[in-house]
Amino acid sequence: MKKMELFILSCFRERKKKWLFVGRNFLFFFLAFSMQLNASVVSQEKVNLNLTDASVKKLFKEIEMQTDLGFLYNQDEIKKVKNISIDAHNMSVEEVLNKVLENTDLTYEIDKKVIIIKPKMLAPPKKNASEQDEKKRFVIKGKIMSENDEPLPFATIIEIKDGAFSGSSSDKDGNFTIKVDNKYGKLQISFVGYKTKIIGIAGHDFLTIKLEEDKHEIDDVVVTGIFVRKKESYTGATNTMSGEDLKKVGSLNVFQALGNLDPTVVIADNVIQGSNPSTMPDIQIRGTSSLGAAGINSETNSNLKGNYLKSANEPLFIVDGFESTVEQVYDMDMDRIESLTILKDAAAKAIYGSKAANGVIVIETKKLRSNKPRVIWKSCLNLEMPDLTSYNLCNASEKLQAEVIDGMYLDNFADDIIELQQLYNSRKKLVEQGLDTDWMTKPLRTGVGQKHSLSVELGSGDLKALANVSYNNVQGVMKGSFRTNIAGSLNLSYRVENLLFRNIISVTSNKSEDSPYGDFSDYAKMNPYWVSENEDGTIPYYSEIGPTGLKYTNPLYNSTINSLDATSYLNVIDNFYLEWKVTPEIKATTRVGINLKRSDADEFYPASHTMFEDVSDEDSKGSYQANNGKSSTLSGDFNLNYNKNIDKHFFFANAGFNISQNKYEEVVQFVEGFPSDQMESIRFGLRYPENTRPDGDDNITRELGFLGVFSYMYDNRFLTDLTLRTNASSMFGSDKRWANFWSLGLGWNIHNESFMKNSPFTLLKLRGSMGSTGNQNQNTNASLATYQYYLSSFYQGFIGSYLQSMANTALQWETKFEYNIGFDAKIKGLGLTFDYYLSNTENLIAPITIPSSTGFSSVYENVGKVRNKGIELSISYLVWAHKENFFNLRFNLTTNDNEIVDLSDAMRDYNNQMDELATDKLQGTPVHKYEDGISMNAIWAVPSLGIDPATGQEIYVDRKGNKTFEWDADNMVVCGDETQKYRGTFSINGEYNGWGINVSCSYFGGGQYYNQTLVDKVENVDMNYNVDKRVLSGRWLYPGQIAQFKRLGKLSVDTDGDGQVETVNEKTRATSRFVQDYNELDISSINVYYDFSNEFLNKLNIGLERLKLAVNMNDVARISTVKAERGTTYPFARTVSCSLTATF
Amino acid sequence: MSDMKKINLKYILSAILILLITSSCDNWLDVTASDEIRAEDQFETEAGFRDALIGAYVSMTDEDLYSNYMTYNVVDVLSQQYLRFTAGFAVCYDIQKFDYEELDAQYQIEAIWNKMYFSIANINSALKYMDSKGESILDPIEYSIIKGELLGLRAFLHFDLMRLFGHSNVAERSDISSLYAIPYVTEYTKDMTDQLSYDKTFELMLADIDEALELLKEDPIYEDPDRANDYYDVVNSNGFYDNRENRMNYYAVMALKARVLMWQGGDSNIAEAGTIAKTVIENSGIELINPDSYDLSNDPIMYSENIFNLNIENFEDVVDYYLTTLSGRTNYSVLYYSTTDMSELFETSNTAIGAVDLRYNTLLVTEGPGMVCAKLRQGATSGVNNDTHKNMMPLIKISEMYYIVAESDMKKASVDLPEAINYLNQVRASRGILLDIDSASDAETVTNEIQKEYRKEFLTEGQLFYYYKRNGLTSIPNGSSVEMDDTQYMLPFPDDELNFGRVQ
Repeated sequence: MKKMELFILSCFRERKKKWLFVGRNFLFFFLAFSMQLNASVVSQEKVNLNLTDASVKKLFKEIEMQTDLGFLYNQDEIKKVKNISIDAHNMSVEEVLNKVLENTDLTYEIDKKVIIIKPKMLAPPKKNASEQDEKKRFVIKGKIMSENDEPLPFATIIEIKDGAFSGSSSDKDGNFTIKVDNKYGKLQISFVGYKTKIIGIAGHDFLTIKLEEDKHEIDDVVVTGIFVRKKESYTGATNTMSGEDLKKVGSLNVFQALGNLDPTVVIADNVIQGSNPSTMPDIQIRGTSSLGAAGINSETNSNLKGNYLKSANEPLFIVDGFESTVEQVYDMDMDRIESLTILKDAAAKAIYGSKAANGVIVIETKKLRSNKPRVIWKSCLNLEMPDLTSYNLCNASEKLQAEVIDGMYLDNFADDIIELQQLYNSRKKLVEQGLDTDWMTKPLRTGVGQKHSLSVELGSGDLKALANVSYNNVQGVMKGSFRTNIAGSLNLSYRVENLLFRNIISVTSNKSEDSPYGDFSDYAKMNPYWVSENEDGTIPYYSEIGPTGLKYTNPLYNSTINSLDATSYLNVIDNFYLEWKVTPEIKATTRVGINLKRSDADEFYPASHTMFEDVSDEDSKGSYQANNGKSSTLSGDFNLNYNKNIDKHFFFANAGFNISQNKYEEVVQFVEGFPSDQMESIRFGLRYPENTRPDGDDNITRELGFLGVFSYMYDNRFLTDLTLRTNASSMFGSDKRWANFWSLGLGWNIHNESFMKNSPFTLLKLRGSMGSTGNQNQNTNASLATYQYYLSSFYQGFIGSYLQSMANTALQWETKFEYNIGFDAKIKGLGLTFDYYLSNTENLIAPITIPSSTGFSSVYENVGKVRNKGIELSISYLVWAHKENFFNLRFNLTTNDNEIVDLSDAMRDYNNQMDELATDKLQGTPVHKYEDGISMNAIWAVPSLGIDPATGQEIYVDRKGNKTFEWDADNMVVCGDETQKYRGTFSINGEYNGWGINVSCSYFGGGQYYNQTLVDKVENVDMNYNVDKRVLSGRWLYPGQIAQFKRLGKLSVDTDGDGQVETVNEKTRATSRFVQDYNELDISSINVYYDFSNEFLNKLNIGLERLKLAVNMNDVARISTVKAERGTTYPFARTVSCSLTATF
Repeated sequence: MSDMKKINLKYILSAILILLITSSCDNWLDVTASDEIRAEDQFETEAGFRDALIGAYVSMTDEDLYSNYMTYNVVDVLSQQYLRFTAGFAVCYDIQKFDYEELDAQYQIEAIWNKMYFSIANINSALKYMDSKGESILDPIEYSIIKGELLGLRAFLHFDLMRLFGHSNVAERSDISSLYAIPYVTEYTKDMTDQLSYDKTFELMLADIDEALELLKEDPIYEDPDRANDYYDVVNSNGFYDNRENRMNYYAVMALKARVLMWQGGDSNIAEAGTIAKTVIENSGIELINPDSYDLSNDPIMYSENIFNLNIENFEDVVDYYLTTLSGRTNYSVLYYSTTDMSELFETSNTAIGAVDLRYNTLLVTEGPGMVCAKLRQGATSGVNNDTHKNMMPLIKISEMYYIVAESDMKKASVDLPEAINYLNQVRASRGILLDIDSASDAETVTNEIQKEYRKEFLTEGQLFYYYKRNGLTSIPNGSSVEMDDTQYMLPFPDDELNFGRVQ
């Protein structure tokens, strides 16, 4: 794309107002156009010049120096002028210019103190043209304006016709007059900085022509993070969305919005952490392809809080060309985002080689465009409201009734029965007195958060600056939980000659705290007949003290004492970018990025906290955990790219080199003994807990790589992209340190074919790609023999070292081979993108069992494959558009089919362990097993026929098809798949006279869900605490009853086969009874906004350029086939946010 | 023109950059987390080799090995000397019953197997770098000693694996030599090492031993009159080569060889074992204690008699649970001896034998339902106060060499009864026994006395079971009804190992 170098003229497309001009030239121009343009010569100034082989630019500068005149010109145009030599003494400026521009295409006009250099009138009507010819010509008048209705002066208007052509230009008000031969011909209008437009005259006498600003439109280019490619010539499968798009569907963070826009990106519902503002989302693109839990990342240290590790299926994040983290993107001010691009297939991702297997998300922050100062202020009020609709708990009397049925108050021993009866009576009395504590609402609130951001653009010619400050405070629905980000960024760019320097520095300070109320589940489980507050309003330590002396602590008590669970970090990122246009075809870019982070976390509970109820040693009561972490990433790259257009051939090539180092360290310390809740510092602790030492983790990885990209396009029709990437990483053994990745993409722009000339398609592109990428989210040196030291033992006073694991020097990178075929089409308002993908993740890394005579029981090996395939479909339809107003529909669908290939043998040991775990009588959740031909997310359970009406026991089906009461892990089969077969979004989107609305819905289905709530709160219940209502209504009570759930009460069975009957509280183990089809439809976001009209803003007369009011609602409603408690530790929330954006 | 120059310069610069990067990148990419050291880096210095050697010893002090299971617990429990455990909660309840299929027993057996081979893997990794870098990095003296120790340890650990998991009475059963023995692993690799026949395995073991002996001629313990006085001053500046009895020293390897040869059997081997044992007795400078002057109550392990012992940090924490009766605790797992058994074994009826035996009157204390051997106790307990040599676990003692001489005398082609009696009497005298074995005793009596000595001498040391197994006794004292054969004598290979096609 030819980039217009637009300097001074661009200020004309902005409306006139008070300016803060940086250079003196600007002032002249402003004055020039605020007055009537007078073409007559006014300058009497004389100059002395002596130049040899100098550029015209230099001449202009010389004249500017000697006079108080200023020049206005287009750099590209004056570049065409050959260097000049002039020796002038006391010559008038006009004389000089006449002489210099004599043999060029340029001419000039002088208006007061401004000299405007402009193209000569093209081929003015010949004087000797016959009278007859002259008569045939028609006079067309018109006005050239920008999209914002600003008049464009000196635009060039040409009539397109065979042979000689005539032209004209607009005046300073944008008005023009042109004589044309054909009243039904075509006019071509061009103006620097704007897209050239061709329109038909169609017999009109007066034409109003609007030109579109020529900038890198998001819709037209693909931003890959390393280079920018024109979409038309690109074969990769990508999805680009603008920052505005994102803001329309989510107001809290990028991920919330992303999931509503592209269903390929799956943001897992965190059933445990709900809407906890401090929990990082778990993201996958195009399915699960790494082993996760069973794989290499299983040994993570749960005490770590610094978010330095990556999860196995996490995509790669690139912000402004540099690798970033989930946390950084999560905490990013959404207003800083210019565009977000998802690179999906190999052709698009291969440039990131070894890290791209899980997909790549490229984010570009706002770039500077305008040449005028602009201030944008945005304020936002966020409401977070708890969503408890998934809860279905007993009230006080129901709970007591359930306890009676359960037999809680019965015992074999007479003494105990009396005590139990006393307990029952005391509880019954409370219930009858009307005690029915609503525990769930106790720790909850409507969180009211605020967000403010201010960005200032200062632009002037060569030096531009964009500064942004933001404050974002999210108040969670648990009382006292919040996450606050204060961030600032400064984007500076400076252009000299062929060089462009850009530096983006951003600083984020984050602080978040978890609720002092503790886990939500602690409240949800409380019996409603327990006391939360005394009558005098004080909060007791115990909610119940039974007649037997059995006590239950009150979680609400913890809110009355001082405790702390806070994390914070400071992140400084500096990205430096240098671009050098070596020749018009060759561009060299260098980037250097520094990303530093320091994090702290403190978790403090004083001795009075209920968690220490059962700790007998007074000195061990009270705890403090302090985490200190730091990370640094240094990276740099160098790219050389080449663009050349020769006739119908278009070449693009890029050669690059990159190098980076990533380091992190986190240290965790525990101290115990804090008798007072005022001792909120680790220094006040009494001692380190016995046999503990500081814990933590650290790692360093280094890598480097080379990149080659070659692309060729013929006649805008046939496209090829070839990418070669070679990477080396310190994580891999010397045998396999280097790995090569590649991709090949082919495309065909059918719409550019001659036979498509009359078709309604404005775009019809067929694409296909294949290639390989790697996955590097493994935090281990499994390929290397590494030593560690025995820290707690000496031998003869000497220290000893030992091998950490069995090394596998032949360990290779996990590699994903992908095939993608798709097309893009546009017919008028209808846009369609379709992709079919198939990917095989090979060399999956998993620990496999080896004979222990090797010294170790397992080694990380490359095993098996995982196959993901599916389709992606995206349709958008512009139903209606008129001026600014439009109505748009959008629909997305993606399917995913996941299958393990070649794995079962290597995972035999793991699967056996899982079988053992499933057999454990206290294990109530299904386990993950990996076998060939099934999905990685399969649900393994024993098929069940339901509850035997005679006994209340569950009837299982064994492998042979026989009925049995015995649960056996060997009978486990795949009863479902957690992978959603299909998922998608649809939205309606419209704007009318400033009012806009966007409603987004998402849906998914075809998968299954193991309803753990039913298991935990209905069957595997701990009757000492509150349970689901279905315990009363759904469980088997009497012979002959057809019930959905097992009998209530303890089971007397011979569990160990020794002939004796034991009373057990056996857990319901994985059974198909709880596997439910999971289909869901969400209204995920509603966004309504109003853009105040220009007239209104003008009336206000406070320099407002734009004022926008928006209300955004997220997670509005949800229809699901599964009824299960969601958000156990932290509830889910619905959010409403109102924002006001003002641009000055 | 100037543009062209610029381009050229840029190309040249970038070419140089790429050249620089590619040439040094391999080193640059060699980084690991701070708590991990790459093997290549570990063995870059002398200290690294020393640390790896010490690491091997530390790994042997694991509770699953010589600080517990491999000595006084599992292995000694197998010898049936202790009182029957009363509760199923006792750590070695199943082991005592030879119920190897029970979960606890399986777990313990697997733990021994895994940890033994873990130590071997560490030794093999160190030996690999010893071969590739050792000679260039280490002082020749140090190279010899460290490598000798590593080889000696490798043989020592494999031999104990063979003694536990291998067949009984190898010496007398000719059919065994061609059977598969335990895998003799000599490489740190994820690939399974093939099992070899007993013959071949002994060959490897003895090769390691012989090489170790050759190398350990540099051991300060091995007297070489040609050495200068300051021979060790440089390498031993920090005392790394002091207290050789704590390490696999020259005489420990010699003694090990005697053990191995006795196990392997065959006339010449048995004769050689006797000869080697005598050499150790004569040359090692390690002497039996003098019962009149030795302060046994303060040094119950008779430290000065140890040819090889392990230094186990915080040994107290481990032994307390098994060798001390504590109030307020169930004491299910405490290793008691029956008072009557002990009385019978030590022949207390004969005051010239039993009551005077230091091993009876000082090392055994009456506690709980019987007696406990206080040898390994670390604190001060009734009459025994191990404060001279704390945290030590004897693995090879000089007394065993006397027994080997005696047993060799009995088994070799030319039986030497008087010498056997003489050697046994030397030990008896050193233990305070006033009555010598009658020099006119017959072979059966002498053999019986040897067995008695093994029973009395190695209380809580885990050697007795091997004695029974080596001789293939079908009936063992206290084993009562159990007819002993390989079902009891051979601990089963872990399931994992069998799944990979191991044969036992």
